[in-house]
Amino acid sequence: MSADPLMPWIPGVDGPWDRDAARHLLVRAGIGPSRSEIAAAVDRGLAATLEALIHPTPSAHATDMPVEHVLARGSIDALAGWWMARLLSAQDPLGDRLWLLWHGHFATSNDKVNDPRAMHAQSELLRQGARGDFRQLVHSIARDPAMLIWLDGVHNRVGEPNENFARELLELFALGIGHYDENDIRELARCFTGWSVKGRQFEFLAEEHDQGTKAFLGRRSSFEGAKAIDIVLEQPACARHVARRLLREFVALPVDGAACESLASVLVQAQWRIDETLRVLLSSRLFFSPQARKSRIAAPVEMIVRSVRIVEASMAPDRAARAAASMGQALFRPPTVKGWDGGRAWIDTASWIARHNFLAELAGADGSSKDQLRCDLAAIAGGEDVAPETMAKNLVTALLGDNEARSDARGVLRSCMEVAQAATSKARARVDVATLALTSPEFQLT
Amino acid sequence: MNNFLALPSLLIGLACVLAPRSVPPGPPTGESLAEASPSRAQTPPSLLNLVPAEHVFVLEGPALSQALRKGRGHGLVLALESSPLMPLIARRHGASLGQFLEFADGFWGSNALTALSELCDLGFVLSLGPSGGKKNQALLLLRGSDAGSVDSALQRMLELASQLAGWPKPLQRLVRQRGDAQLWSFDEFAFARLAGLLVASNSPELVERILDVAQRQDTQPASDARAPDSNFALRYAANPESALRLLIDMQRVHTLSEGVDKWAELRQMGREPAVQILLGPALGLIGSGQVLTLDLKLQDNQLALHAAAHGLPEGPQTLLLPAAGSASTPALAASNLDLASGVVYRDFSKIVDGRSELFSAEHLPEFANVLSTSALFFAGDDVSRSLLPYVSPHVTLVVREPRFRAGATPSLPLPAAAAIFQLDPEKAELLGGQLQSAFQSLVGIAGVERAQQGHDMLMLELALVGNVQMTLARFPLPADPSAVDLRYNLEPACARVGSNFVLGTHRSLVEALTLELAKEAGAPVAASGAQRSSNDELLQLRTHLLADALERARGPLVMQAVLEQGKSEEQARADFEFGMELLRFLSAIEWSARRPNSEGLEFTLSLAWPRADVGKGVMR
Repeated sequence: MSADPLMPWIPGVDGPWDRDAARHLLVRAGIGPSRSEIAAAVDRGLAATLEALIHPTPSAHATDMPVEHVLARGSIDALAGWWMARLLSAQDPLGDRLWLLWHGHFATSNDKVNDPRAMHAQSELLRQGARGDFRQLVHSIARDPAMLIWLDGVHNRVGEPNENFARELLELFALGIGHYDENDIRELARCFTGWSVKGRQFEFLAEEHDQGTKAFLGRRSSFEGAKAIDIVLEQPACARHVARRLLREFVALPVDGAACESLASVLVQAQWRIDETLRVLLSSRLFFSPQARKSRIAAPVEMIVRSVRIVEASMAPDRAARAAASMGQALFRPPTVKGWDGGRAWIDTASWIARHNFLAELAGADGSSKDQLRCDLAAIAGGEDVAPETMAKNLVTALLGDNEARSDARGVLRSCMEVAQAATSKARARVDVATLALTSPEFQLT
Repeated sequence: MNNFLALPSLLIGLACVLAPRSVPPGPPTGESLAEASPSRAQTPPSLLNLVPAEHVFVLEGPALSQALRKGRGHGLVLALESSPLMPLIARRHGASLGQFLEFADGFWGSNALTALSELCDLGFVLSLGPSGGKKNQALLLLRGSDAGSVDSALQRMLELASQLAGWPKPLQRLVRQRGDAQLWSFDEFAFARLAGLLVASNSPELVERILDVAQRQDTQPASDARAPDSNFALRYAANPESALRLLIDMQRVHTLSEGVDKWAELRQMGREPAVQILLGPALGLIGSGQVLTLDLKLQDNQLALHAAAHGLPEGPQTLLLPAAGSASTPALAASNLDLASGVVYRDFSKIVDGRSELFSAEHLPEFANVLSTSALFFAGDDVSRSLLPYVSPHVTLVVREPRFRAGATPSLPLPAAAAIFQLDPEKAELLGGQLQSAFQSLVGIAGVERAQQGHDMLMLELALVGNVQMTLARFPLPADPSAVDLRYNLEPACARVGSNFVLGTHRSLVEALTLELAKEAGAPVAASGAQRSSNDELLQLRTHLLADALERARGPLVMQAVLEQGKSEEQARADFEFGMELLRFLSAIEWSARRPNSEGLEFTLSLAWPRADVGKGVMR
C-alpha cells in the first residue's frame, strides 16, 4: 500500500480491469449487478463505469407509478415493498446504495413514528440528498417530521429540553463518541427547543424556544437550531466521522487512520459532496486492493437484490421485503437509533436459516408459486446440453465470480462439481449446484 | 377418490380402441349405428339406471346437448361477442371465442358443437366409485338420438384422436360381438357400443354388467328395466334445465374419507365460530347431508349454480338454521344505489347459548371473554340474556359508496357498509339506547388507546336525522386534503329507527338508511318496497357499481398486484382491465340460501348479463 491509500488504481498497471474487478465495483457501489451489467462494465472501462454510477442516465423506474398508490393503503409493509421494487429495478445503483446507507445512518423506525407517509417523506429526503452535500442532509434531517417524532424533538421545550436528538446528532450523525461531553449535549438540546411538527410539516414554536445563551463545543451565544448544526458540522471530527462511515460501507476493512484522514480531506475539498468524494474512493488502490475484495458480509437487502438479479429471477417485491425482514433488515424499521450493526451481526442462527431457505427456494423456483417467483438457471448454466462439470463451472462463475471458478482447489467449485455429477437430472443438477453456490459463505461476502 | 386421473386415460383409450382404421373385418364398412339403433320416437330410459349403486360421484348433463346445439346462437356467446370483454379475451388467449369455435369447426371438419351435442343428445353420464381394489371405477355413458350422426361424430372424433396421439400401428383390440353390442378391450379399459349407446370404463366387468342391463332395457318396458342395484342418483330427480348436474353420495364420501386429515380439517372448519358468524350456519352444513347435488344452469342471460344438500341429520348445528320453509323480509327494499345488499340469517342468541355443544372446548374461553367484555359496555348486563334474545336473526346488510366531508376524502376510498338489526318492538327503545351508549363507550376507549400511542382520536358527535338521533364518530379534518389516510374511511355511526338499529362504517350511509327506514315506517304497508323473500339469505351485488368503486381504487390495486404478486405494471394493468370488463359484462351477482324442508338446504349463486340484443344501459 502506498503512502496515500487513496492513490488512483490504474487498470492494467495495478491490476486487471476484468470481470472480478468490475463485479467488485458494481457490487460495492451498487446493490446487485446483473451478469450483463458486469459484462458491459468490463467493456466500458473503469472511468466510464464510475461516471455512469455517479451521474446515472435518468430512466424510468419499474415503479414510477405514483407512490400515493402505496401510501393510500397506509401500510409500512407495502411501502417497504415499493422501496424493494425500486432496488430490484436498479436504475441508480449508487443512489440506491447511498439511500440505504443513510437510512441506517439516520435510523428512524416506523415502530415509533407509526406513520408511513412521514416515513416516506423522510425516505425521499434521504434519497434526494443521498449523493449531495452532507451538511445539507443533516440540516434537512433535523427538521424532518419523522425524525422529530422518533427522537422526541416534538417534546423539546424551553425549560424542559429533551436531549435525544442533540445526543444522536453528536454521537451518531456527525461527530462520534469522544468529541463532545454531556454538557455539550444539554446545551445543544436547548438550541432545538421549539422545533416541532404540525400535521406532517416542520413547525417552529417560537414561544417554546429557549432564547437564552448556550455554550457548547467551545462556542457561546443564543444559538438557534440551524446555527447549532453549522457549529457541529464545522468540527474537524465531523468530516472524519463521515469518512469513517463511507470507508466502512464501501471498503469494509478495519478503518485505517491515514485513509480516514485522507478521505475526510477529500470530503471537505469536495464541498462535502458525497458523490465527488466517492469518485476518489471508488477509484482508489485501497478500494481495489485484494484485502478489500469480498471482505464484507452482505446485508440482507443487498444479498436479496444481488441474488435475484444475478440469476435473473422475477420476484414479487413484497416477498423480497419480507425475506429481508426475516433475515434481520426490515426496511423502515431499524432496530435502534444506531441502525443496524451490520458486519458479523448479520449472521446468527435464525438469520442464517432464513438466508439459506430464501436462497434455496430462489434456486429451485419454477414459477409455480402464486407470486410467480421464477429462476431460469439453464440460461446461466450455458444451456441444456453442457456437460455437468461445465455447467457447474458456469454457474459458479456467474454466481460467485471468476476467481472462485478459476482455482479448482477451492471447496465450492469442487463440491458443485460433485453435486452436478451425482444429480439424477440436468434440471436437478442445476438447482443443486445453484443452491450450493448461493448458500456458500462466499456468496454472503461482497 | 384418488382416481380421477383414470378418466382422461379412459377417454384416450376409448379413442384408441375405436379408431376407424382398426375396425375389425366382418360387417361391411357401410354399416352404421343408425341401422342398429332403436327408433327415435322411443324414449330410452335414463342413463342413471345404468350407474352402479356403489358409485359416489355422478355427473350427468340433462340439458347439455341443448346448450351445445345452440352453439354460437347461445345468448352467452352472443353477449360475449358483442362485449368489450371479447377483445381482451382474444388478447390474453390469442383468439376470440368466435375464432376458437372456427378453429374447432375447421379441425373437426363440420360444426364441432353440433357434433358434440349429437353424441350426447339423449344422455351423458360420467360416474366414479370404489371398486374394492386399489383403483376406483370410472364409467362413461353417452347416448345419441340419431344413431347415424352419432356414428359419424364418433368416427371423426376417433380419427382426430388417432392423429393427435400418433399411434404408429393398428391395435389388436376387438374382443367379440355380444348380441347387438360390440365389445373391445385395451389394457385395463373396456368399451362397448350398443346402437346409440357408448359405454366405457376402466373395468371390463362393469362394462359387461352395463350391457346386460342396457340390452334388457331394449327388450323390456322402461319401468321394468331398472338395474337391480339402482343407485342413489335415481332417488334425486334430475333437473331437466341443468346443463350439468353433479350428484355426490356424501355418506360414502364420509366413509371413504375417514382418516383423511384434509377432509377432517375441512369439516372441522364448518364448526369454527368465525365461520358460523361470517359465512353462516348453512354453508358449514352443506356437506353434512346424505347427498349433495350441484346443478349448473346456463340460460341466454344467466348462469346459475345451485347446490342442494339432502338428508341433513338433526344436530346442534341445525338448530342455528331458520325453521324449514321460513322466509325473510329485509328491513329495507334494495336500492339502485346499493353496491351490495341483502339479508343474512345469524342467530347470535342460539350461537351463544349453544356454544358448549356447537364448538370445541378451545373456543369457550373466547366466548367467555367476549361476554365479560360486552358486559362492560352494557352496564354489567349479561348480553346473552338482556340483548341477544331480542334481536332478530335476520340482519339486513347494505353496502354503498359513501360521501366524505370536504377535505377528508381518503386517497383510497372504500365502500361503506351497514347492518340493520331488527329489535323486539317491545324493547326497541330500551335496547336502542343501550346499544348507542355502548357504541359511545367503545369509541371512547378506542380513543384512549390511540391517545396513549400519540395518535389523533375519533371525536364523538350527535346529529339529528329527521327526528332520529344519530351517534357518530370521526377523525379531525386531515392537515393535507391531497393525502388523506386510509383511516378516514372510518366514520362509524349508529341510530335507532323504530325497532331497527342501524350500525355502519360511515356517517353518510347510516344517515341515508335512517331516512329511508323512517320513510318506510311512515308509509302504508302496501307501499313498502321491502319484499318478503322465500329465501332465508339473499345477497345481491350490482356489478357495475362494484366496477365503479374499483375504478376509483385502480391505481392502488394495480400497484398492489405489482408489489404483492410480482407482476409487471403492464400485466397488472391488463389483469385489472380484464376484471373490470368482466364485472361490466355482468349485470348482477346473486347469492341465496333457503331451507326447503327440515332435511334439506339449498344455495344458489347466479351471474346475470344483459341479453345481447338489449343495450347495456337499459339492463342496468
